Amino acid sequence: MPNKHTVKKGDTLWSVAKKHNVSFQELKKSNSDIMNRYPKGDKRHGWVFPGDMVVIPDKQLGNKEVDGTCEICKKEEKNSSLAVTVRYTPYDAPVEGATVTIKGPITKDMKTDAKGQVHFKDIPPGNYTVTATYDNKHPLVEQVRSHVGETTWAYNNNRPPYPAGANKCNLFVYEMLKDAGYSVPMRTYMRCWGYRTEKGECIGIEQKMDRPPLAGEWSNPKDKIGNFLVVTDPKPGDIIAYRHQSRYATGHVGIVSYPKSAQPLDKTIKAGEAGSVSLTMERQTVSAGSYTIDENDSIWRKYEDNKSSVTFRRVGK
Amino acid sequence: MKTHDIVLLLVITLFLDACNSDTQEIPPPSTRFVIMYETTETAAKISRIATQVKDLTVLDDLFEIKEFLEIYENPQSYVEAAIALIQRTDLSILNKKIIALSMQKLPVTQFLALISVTADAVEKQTTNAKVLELMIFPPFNWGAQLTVNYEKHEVQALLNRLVEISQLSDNTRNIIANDILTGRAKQNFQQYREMQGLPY
Repeated sequence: MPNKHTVKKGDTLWSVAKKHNVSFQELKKSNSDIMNRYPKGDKRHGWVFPGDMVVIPDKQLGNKEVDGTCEICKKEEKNSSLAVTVRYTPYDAPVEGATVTIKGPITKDMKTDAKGQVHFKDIPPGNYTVTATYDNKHPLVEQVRSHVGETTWAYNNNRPPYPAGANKCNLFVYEMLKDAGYSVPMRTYMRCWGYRTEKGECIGIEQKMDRPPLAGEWSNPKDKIGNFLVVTDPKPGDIIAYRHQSRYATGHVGIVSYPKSAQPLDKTIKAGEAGSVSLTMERQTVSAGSYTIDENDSIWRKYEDNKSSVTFRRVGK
Repeated sequence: MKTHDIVLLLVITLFLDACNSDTQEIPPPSTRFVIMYETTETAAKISRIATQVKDLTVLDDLFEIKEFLEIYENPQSYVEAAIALIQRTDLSILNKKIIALSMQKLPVTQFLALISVTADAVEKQTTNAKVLELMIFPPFNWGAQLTVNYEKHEVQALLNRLVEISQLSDNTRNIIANDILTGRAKQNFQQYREMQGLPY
């Protein structure tokens, strides 16, 4: 008994052939009743309608090369297309290198260009689900993500030179950059081995000590920190820092992580249509929160609240 | 609660005060009414703060919220409500953590009373130990009441009680015993200010 396919809305002989992975020519030969329903020259020649039963030929036979034109499918392939644009949110910018996948009558994927765009040309009409994922690997992002959930840099842990009680987001960034092979210049401060009076006078011995750059220093675009250059097009692997407006807070610093996958979008492409869709990918960071290493949008939320306080840096050459 | 409802309740409670003027053991109804009203208002305020902050990934994010700063800068106006709320079982851990952080600038005596009530609640399991931990030892930029005043007799008495509370994490109990009670945390607090370039 040959396999049969019941035609649904949106199906064409071409899409049925693709769906069952058989030759379009073989499918036409196996369905002479459909092919003869309207004579050649009639625009409906070769059309199928919901409820039609299409005979699916044996794949082995279908593999044979058959000469002949493919007027219907060529016309559909040439005329339908889908342009997809992928952008970051927040801090709107194109996502370069995202993998966009369309699933429908055919499945295809392509990587976005510098403008965050891909163009699927010559695709058969039908219903498509469009998704975007970020599959590129950045060594620093891979490294920081491997620490997500750890409590090593929690404020209430002792991790020299920072004692328990001190926020350590800057220490986390410093250690990650050093481990990745980057050179991060230390800053100095005067340590008082004794006690300080209210006026700041040290009763004891003062000693010059090193510490990593603070979140507030990373976030100050005027503060030169080694060859970490201020940039305005943040990408995974960059440093992101913000300073609080409050006099009590110290600011926060982390590493830009990969964006979240875009929410899938359904799109129907008609024969001959040049469709387009836009997808957004949510930005994320990895940073030492008060208790654990977190991957989330907390720093990006700060950008949304107060755009001027966020600074991005990238290692220069 | 609308204004006319509040006025009506106040009139009723003042009348009840007059009827119960001899009773000295419990606060008169009018005082209880005021505390109840303030507690409800503070609970609503804390809920609004929790909605704004979303999570406490970075505790310092609270400093960006105006309503939070109102409490943090004037904790004495809210301490009665805080004591009532911290014991309630229907308040989330996030909301209680916000209360714990908002009370850091209380004068020592009131702060010790609040910690004591919270410790009782932890032992009765009506409050999560994480709330107490944050209240006792927040990040240094939030305040360091117990750390700085560790030599005071009443502070030491409370710290010695806290070390014995089994619900507290080993890390917190170690910090109390080995850092705060020994004065090392006070030195660390000084070092932290030096590193951050903060005034002394």
